[in-house]
Amino acid sequence: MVAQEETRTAPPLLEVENMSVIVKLTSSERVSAVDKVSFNVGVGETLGLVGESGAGKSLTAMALMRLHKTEVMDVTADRINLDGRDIVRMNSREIRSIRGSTIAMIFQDPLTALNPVLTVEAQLMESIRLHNDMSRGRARQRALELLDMVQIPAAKSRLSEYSHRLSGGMRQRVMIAMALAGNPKLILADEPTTALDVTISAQILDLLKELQKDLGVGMLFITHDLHAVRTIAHRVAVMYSGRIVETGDVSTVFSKPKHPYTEGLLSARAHGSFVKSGHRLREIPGTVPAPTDRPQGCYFGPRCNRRSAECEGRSPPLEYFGHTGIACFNPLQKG
Amino acid sequence: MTTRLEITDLVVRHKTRKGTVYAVSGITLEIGAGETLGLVGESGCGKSSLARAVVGLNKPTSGTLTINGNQIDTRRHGQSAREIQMIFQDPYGSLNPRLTVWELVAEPLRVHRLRTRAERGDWVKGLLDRVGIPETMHDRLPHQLSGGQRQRVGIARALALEPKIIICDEPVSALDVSVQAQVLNLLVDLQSEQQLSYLFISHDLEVIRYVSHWVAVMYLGVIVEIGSVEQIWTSALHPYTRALMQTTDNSETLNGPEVRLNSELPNPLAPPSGCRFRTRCPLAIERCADEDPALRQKGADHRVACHRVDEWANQVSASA
Repeated sequence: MVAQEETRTAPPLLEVENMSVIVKLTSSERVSAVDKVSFNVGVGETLGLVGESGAGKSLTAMALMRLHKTEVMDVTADRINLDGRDIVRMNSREIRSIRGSTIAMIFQDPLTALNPVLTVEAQLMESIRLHNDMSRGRARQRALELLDMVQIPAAKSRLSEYSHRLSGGMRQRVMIAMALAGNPKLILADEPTTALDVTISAQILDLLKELQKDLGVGMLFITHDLHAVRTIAHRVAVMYSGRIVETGDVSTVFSKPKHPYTEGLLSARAHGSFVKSGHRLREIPGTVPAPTDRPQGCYFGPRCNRRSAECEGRSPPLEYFGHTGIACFNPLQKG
Repeated sequence: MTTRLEITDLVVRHKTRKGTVYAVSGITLEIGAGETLGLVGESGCGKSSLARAVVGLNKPTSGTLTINGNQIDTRRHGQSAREIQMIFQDPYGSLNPRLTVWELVAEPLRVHRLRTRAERGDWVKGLLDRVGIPETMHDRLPHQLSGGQRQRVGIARALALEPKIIICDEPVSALDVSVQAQVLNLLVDLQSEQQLSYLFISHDLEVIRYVSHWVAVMYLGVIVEIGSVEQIWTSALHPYTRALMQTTDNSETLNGPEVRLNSELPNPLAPPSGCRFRTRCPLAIERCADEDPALRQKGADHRVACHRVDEWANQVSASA
């Protein structure tokens, strides 16, 4: 179920260069929760951003939407180009004008992201009329179209529902409809299927994949679920403790991982039957370090089975070999 | 293989403001010594209600539980604690935040007045060693541990009374993948060392496949299919099981036609008449609305509750 690959030559829709999210712990203490990440998302492309908790995935999305708490966090970057405009230097009014219209977000938990005292119709109409100059009647029609697009059955009767009356899957569909209301070019989906049951999750993944293809939008799909990335993304970036450690085409990274962390993550995942074959799962010893507690040199070093003296000295930069980028001094199957 | 735990016709009813939910409506299962029965199903299907009733945290409405051949009182208050223990999904929520790691593991022994003080010390240390908690952590409080360490403490605590049956309710769902492997390896090692029997609940099918000898699929309070892990993975017969299996990475190993579900779990307060799955089933016929399908034997140790299983079974074997 690997997504179809195509060659893309157009300039990327989103270009992020050396973006850091710096958290202010005390007046003098600061820590880079996200540490100089660079990636891009092409038009009509899905990039899967995958990592364990504490990797900095959600902070990355928040920083791109500029939804981070500015009192406690700073975002710095050499460049964040979205659809040809640099959003690092935008003021809050300009940011508001692109939020929802150029870049839209789908959150993990639609129950908290949706307004509990407004009906589906009221919330959809609000998003639609905020981004489009439309009469109420036309906006209502558009709301119905959007609910149809996200395949909500009997859309008309759902308009007057409140979010708590909808099932988890339906809520997520409403969230997706709202994200589409401003005709965005880039969708940030932050763990959109994590809270859902497997059968519903499969439905939502199918829907997102279909919409992404039909509308030709770019998508940044954030998840800890390797299976979801494999199903939906064209390319993947693996994050560990605030850094991107490996990036490349989904099929390559999953079949021939080069970074020891990626390889460890793929083989640590439960697979096969212990009862039948008696194989143990490969463990990655230890846990992800807290941003305040990172080791010297490579952050993955202490947990890595391929570490050498070099790894403790300095942090390996992300280097490209063809389409694949790896931040490791001792990668697997080099080249 | 001796049967260690027998659950017969268990019913668990919850009364809510809006009506009565039959979270478990007549389930019969058995688990042998040293074996794992994996229980899968979507949230709201009654998995946890079943687990809690077996361990004694819920009082079942009816049904019997037999442990090692002795029928036990399902309205018991902790008498079977030495025989059945539970490992919870969220060790943070299930460990007393004011007790140290050491106290948490020693507490069950104290409550049950087992072993002398001196013996307890050695026993607790042995348990913590076994689950991989170093001595430097014995004085820590739960919030000072990582998720994986907390789950290790939860496991040590469950083992303190030397139970032979352990109910694992989503024990690795809250953990990161790299830590999941550590905990799963520990659980399968402990099983072979101590001949433990697990009732293992998870929504993660790959995890279920890895640990289970047998797999039971639950839908709205009933078992719709049960069989060996191999049978379920390669020749699942119930349309619901097939839909679940097709969401996994290894769906290509499944023989036969594909089933896609387009709708969601119906309201458990008013389950559909007849077959509970029929509202989502692409194969439903009139009979399914009238008649509740019973679990029927389909091959050795494989049982399925579906009216159309025979037609379906032919298709599965034809394409195999």
